[in-house]
Amino acid sequence: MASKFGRREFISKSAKISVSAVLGKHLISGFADSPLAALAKDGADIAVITGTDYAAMTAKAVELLGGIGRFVPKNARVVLLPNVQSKNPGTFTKPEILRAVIKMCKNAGAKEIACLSLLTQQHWDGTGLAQVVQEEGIVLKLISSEAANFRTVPIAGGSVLTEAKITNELYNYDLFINMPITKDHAGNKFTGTMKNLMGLNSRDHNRANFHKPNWTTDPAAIEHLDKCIADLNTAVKPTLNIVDATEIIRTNGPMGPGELIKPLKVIAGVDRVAIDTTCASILGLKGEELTQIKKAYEKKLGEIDLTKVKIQEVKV
Amino acid sequence: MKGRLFLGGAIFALGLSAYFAAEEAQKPAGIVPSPPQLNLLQFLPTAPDLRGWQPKGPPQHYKGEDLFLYIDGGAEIYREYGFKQVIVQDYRDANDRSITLEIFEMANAESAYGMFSFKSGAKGISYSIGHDARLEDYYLNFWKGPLLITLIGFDASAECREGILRLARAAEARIPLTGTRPSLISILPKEWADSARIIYLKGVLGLNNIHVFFPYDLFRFKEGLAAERNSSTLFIFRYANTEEAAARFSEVKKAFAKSPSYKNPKSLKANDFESTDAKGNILRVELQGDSIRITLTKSTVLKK
Repeated sequence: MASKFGRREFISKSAKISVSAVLGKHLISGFADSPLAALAKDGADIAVITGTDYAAMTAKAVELLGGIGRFVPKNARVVLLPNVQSKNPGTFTKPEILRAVIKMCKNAGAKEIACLSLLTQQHWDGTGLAQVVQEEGIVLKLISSEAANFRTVPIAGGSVLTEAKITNELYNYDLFINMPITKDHAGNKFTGTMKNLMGLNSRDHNRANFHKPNWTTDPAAIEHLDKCIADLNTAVKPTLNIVDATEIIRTNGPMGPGELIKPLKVIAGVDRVAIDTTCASILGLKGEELTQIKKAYEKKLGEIDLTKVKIQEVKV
Repeated sequence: MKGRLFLGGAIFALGLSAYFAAEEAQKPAGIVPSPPQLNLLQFLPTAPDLRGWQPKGPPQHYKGEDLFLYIDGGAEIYREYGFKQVIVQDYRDANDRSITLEIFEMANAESAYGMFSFKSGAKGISYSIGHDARLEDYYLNFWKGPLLITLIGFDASAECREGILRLARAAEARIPLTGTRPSLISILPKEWADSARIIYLKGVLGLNNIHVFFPYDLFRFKEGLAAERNSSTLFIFRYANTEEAAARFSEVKKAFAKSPSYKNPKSLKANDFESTDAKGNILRVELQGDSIRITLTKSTVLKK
């Protein structure tokens, strides 16, 4: 897989030697503030890869962004967040994609690689993701719901949230790769990079603050959920997002079962707003019509106008 | 064995009597359902019925808001239709292929039908299981009485679909409950009866999954339906009485006239107007007795 990276990989590997000394826990607070942001400017902002070999597509997507070395320095401790919603087809990140990302991180010289999850071993077993974790010899950290496992992260200027409750474990790593599957959501219509971050926030906090009391389902309650998602995304910023848009449900999300469509795409990038706008279009939705994307754009978390984003599309 | 049968029968009878007592006292399908009434364990098929399929592990059971623990981050739509409880059982065959069976107890038969209609797509195949059943690629939904049953297979292969049908029929045989479709379905105009998909609605979340007219709950209907045919959709929103429907129609008419999202409002009759949305779709809105009806014709059809 490493042989596919070519010249850009070589350049970024060389460059990372000079910047690795300044890397550390600050990476978790935002890629845009990291010195790595200056690397690989010739790469795409978003890579959209179409094909049927999901591992090769994942590797190609990262290659087009400038190579894994742009994101994962040698000796980095890397944490991954795939979506393990359920074992229903089209609702969880494909094992092949997780495996490809793990292999890339290993090739980049990562010191430690782990997956984090607030869900159960049963979820991981059912999706086949546990097998990948085991075979690749990385760590799966299942976080139980005790309050002590989460830290309060203030959200300055939140529309509705004043704080998040993020798993402590996240802060034991140097960088975080967000790995959602994009799909329908019967509540707010769309799941992408930003909604996946609810997988780092305490489930009790999600339930008590993101969802209105008594399960209210009026549009105001759904808008509230979307605003919470945008707020949460100001508290945690992934270093890299790799989105599974290979086989996904377009109805009855997020858990399904629902109508399965096969866009056969892997999408990667740093800008969550631009990526989610791209993914929304796959589901026939417009970013500006989705509150979570619109609010995140207003919070300057990314670009909603895709004409201003360098998107590179490749078939493998 | 006899003792076991007796115990099973007693549990079943208790469950049934509790269910019928609950039906007796039941309010109209609402947003706040009463607590679970049925022992759902009794409806799970067991090995002798299944020819090659075996339960795998213990069943999971979730009640009320705990549904969020099962459907992480997306249980709201079940709540809108009146969710009470769900039991989930995995089954496996000799090749370790698995099928998951979910039995949802909803507020009443209307709610079960509603959730069935929401979850079923237009492309499936109908089967004579329960009151209605629909098999799609790798999953089947059917409803019977106040229960919605969903079976999810491992893929869309013939083997998987056979397993799903076998389990579905075994579950159906254990459910002696009955129910009828909501009466609203019967007022669907004849020309819409062959719609590819009919969705019974209990609230705005279900509606917004089909079409968003306004970013707030303008219609505030008691119950509704959407019938999709070619590129047109008929929406019927029903109210408690004709007065309430008329008052709501008046609000709807004002909202369309004021909204920048709609253009060219044109009154056809006193209780009938037409408008065009930002995408060029034509909407005809009518007050008919205790209902408001909207026929939405997509712009793609109009351009042809």
